[in-house]
Amino acid sequence: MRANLAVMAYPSDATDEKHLSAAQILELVERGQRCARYDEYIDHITVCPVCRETYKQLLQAEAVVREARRPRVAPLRWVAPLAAAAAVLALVFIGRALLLPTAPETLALRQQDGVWYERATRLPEWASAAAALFANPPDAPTRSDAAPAQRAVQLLAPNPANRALESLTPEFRWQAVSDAVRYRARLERADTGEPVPLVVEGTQARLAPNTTLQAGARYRLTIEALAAGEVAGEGLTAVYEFRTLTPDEQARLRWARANRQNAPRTCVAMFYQLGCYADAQETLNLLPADDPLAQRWRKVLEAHLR
Amino acid sequence: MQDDRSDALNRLACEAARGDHDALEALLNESRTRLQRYFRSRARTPDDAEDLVQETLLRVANYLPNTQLNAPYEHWLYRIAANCLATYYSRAYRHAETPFTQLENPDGVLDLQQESFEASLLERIADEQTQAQLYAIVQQVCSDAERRVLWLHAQHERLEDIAQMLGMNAATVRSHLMRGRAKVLAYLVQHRRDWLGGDDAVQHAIERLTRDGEPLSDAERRALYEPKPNQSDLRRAALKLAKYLRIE
Repeated sequence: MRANLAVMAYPSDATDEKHLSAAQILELVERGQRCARYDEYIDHITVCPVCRETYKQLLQAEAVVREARRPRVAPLRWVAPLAAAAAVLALVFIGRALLLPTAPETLALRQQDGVWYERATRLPEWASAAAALFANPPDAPTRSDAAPAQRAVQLLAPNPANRALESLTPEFRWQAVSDAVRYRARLERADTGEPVPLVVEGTQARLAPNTTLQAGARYRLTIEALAAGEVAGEGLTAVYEFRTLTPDEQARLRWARANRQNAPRTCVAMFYQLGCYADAQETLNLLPADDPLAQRWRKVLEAHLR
Repeated sequence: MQDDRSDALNRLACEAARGDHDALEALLNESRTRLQRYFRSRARTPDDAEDLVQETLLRVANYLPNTQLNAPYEHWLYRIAANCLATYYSRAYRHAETPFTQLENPDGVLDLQQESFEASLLERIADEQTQAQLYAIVQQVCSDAERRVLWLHAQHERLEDIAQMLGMNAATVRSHLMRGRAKVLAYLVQHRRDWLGGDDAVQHAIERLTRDGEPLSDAERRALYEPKPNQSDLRRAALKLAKYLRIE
């Protein structure tokens, strides 16, 4: 078929001397599908080898630039000083927490007589790490500047924005793909590749009878939408990764869900720690929009949810 | 599309290539502004950006007199700029700390002259009427994405390159390719069977399939002969028959 289709590669009306200008190709490189005349430009590039060659070379250079700008692991010689600096900062932070038992009441999060409070809510001992984390939001993960590639098959449930699977017997549901006549779904341990038997029915899948997932393990779900005539491996595919929660984490999640109104800051950080980014973002909306810490957390969560 | 300024640059480039020093100087001046804009947001520092501008202009000045441009001058300029940029960010540059201007020509500017050979070959093997008709069929039966993927693949672009050009992942490209092929083949089998050698050729292909142990199902066989076939069955049948059919 390839050889046969080769003969139609070049519609005769595209062989004239009209080319995209370099500025137009650059606009396409920089803006991609957000380019206002994307269809027109990409259709021309599809049939014009000259413009395509320029486009490819500019795209490749752009990829090199992006790759070079991606933050790298610090060279070894910096590890010791950085570790020392981190230790000093940690000591300062812990010291402050210990030495300020009677922090002003205006602070939403405070420690009193060794007990953490958020407003009037006394926090469980195991929530102190989350309370401390809220005051020091992590760095937002760095992603490519390009628009995120949309997954070919959209998972609807469990919410793919959460990396944590609450249930050990989850039911997966996804959006139907136009053209698809059937679906395949595969669930496996992300670390060992050990498969978990699934029963697929239309746009849903559940674990086979008498099967449960292991708590505290990572799993990879692959959904494939197959059109008529397509065999396994030829369809549109989307991959999702989840981690099941341990019983301890389940208890924390339940506590966070029950206390998000009374202790929103602690719960934002706790949801984050558990990988429940959608819950964290929802809870963040309970805080004042102009709260600087809330703004920093919003950036962190948006980066995870992107 | 190309404007008057691009045409003016092309004319200057032609004159410069013929040895006109004034034209070359004017061309380099015009190019400088474009390159400064291109490198400013891409190089690590303003000094590096200026070095990259100089390096690109140097290459243009060196190569232009010996080059017959087969692309608009601006395209040629930006391809060299892109190569310079990739070299600048390359491992060799970062680790060896060789001054950029002392690097050998690692990207082979002369290679630029070889582009599009495959495509020109394609032009030669197809008669224009067939091309135009196939083009119309693809436009009629395929989605935009399928049409673009089919086009690019037919011109021997790699799936990875197509994915990069269209901003898709490789699996999606492959899927569009398979669907597009199936749709075009199904159309040809249904409406332009004469291109495939007529009923005899199709029947012959069915027999060969059966001999090879991959017979068509009853539904697929029916779809080949019904006036209004089930498209899924027809596409499946057409895909199976494809390896035994040729466009004549």
